[in-house]
Amino acid sequence: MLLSIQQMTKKFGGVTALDNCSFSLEQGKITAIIGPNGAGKTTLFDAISGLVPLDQGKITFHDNDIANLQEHQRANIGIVRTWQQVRLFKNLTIADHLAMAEGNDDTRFFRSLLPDTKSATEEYQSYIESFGIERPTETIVRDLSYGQRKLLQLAIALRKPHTLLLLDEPVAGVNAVIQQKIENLLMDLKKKGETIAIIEHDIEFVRKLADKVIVLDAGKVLLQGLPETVLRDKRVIEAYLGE
Amino acid sequence: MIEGYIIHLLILIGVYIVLAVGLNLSIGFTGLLNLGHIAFFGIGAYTSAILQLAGVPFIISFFLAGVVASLFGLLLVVGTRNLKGDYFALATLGFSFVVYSVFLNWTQVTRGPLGIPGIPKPELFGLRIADNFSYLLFVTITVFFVVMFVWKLATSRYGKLLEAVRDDEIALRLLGKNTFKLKAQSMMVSAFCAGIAGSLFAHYITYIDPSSFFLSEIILVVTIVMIGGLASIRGSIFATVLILLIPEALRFVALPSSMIGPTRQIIYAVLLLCVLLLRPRGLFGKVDLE
Repeated sequence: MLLSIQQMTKKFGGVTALDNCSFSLEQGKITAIIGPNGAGKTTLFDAISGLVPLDQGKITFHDNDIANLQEHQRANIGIVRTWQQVRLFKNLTIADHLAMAEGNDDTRFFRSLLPDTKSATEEYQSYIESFGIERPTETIVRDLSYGQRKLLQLAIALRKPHTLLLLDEPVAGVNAVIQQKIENLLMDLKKKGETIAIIEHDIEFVRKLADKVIVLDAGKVLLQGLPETVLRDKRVIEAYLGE
Repeated sequence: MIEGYIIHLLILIGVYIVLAVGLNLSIGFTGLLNLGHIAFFGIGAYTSAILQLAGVPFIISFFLAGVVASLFGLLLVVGTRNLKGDYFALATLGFSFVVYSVFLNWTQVTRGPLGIPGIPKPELFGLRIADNFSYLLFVTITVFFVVMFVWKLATSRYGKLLEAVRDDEIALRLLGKNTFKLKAQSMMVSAFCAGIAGSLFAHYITYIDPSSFFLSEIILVVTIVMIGGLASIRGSIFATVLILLIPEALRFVALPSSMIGPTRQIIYAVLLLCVLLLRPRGLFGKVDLE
């Protein structure tokens, strides 16, 4: 078991965003988290990545309690995430983003005063092209289309050394072509045995991709299990398929 | 006569370039709306003046002016670590007022409103920098090193991280970067620049009092950074020259002396408004003023 969540509760004032949630993410498996808007899916990712402190409960990663780790420390032990609404550094280039994802040498103050020797332009170019981003790596990201930014966000997350990927609606808001590209990339990641938790609304895609499905509703884990079992449940069908 | 006047202007321009380039590192590159910069300028000036008058060699007083200012920069970042945006700006402005009050009221050390007169001209390795032309050379060398240092920092991968803090701090933390450390270091370098600018100022004017480090001065330096453009070192240099030279034209206009000060403030305000309306990125800026 890679990550385990036990009795996680998070309240925002009078609103209970997560209510006594417990589940685990297994190494090499893809877990889809589904649920209606406001179910607490993104809050769950925020809690795992350390953005919101828990009111109650425990998160263990590789059997270590990570409650006291700050968000950057969690990223550095391998918990890497993407965002539903793309979050990139709008005034920096694609190459700047990829360089940042590669390690933390760049945070060394005095190292910055020495001459830069490493230039990975060609390697960066072929890397982003493998994600279908046909733009020079010196392009400022604010000049990219939304779909390209969404792809870049995924490319950055994969560039960062990781053991768990948290993908928050990776295909939300993109056109059908980019959606297909991202879905193909995710299927490739499944073949490679990546450990992924993904928030996704496309039930058919979840059925193809996921090894496990967790259904959240009003902050509670309503159901969890194999996709064929969970997605056949009457409550899920009612909520998602309207049948 | 005219030569002396030009040298005087060039020295002041040099001092303000060091001040503005340092401020652009924290405001423009890192996105910290730092209104405490003038306090660091004052801390540097007082540190250097007091140490020199106590017999400490100039070169040590000069560096300690930067070091003490940067330690206060660290203190300010630690104290405001949970504040963002406007709240951070207000806290740093409050810091400026507190430091000003200390200059004014800690009379045993600062002599309060009487100020510190008789600050000696610097002596470097046995060579006394007594005349203004020599002082201009010293200021020019300092400006060169400060500009090169900040430029190297800003264009390195580390500098890109500072820009990333400005653009989206949370996203950067989720990439595994300790943004608090980055902000603290940026603020310390910024304050260091202000500190040595303060030392340059104190030893040039040879007299300091709290009024040199009050709100109107921070408005001047922030105006320089805004007009030059955020995250543009070239912009800060150009705007410093522009902002310091334009009001000098008033000397050649037959205005009553009581009108010169307010007219200067009006010129700054009009320039700032024009830039905000016509060129929201400033003259050479790379990012929008938000």
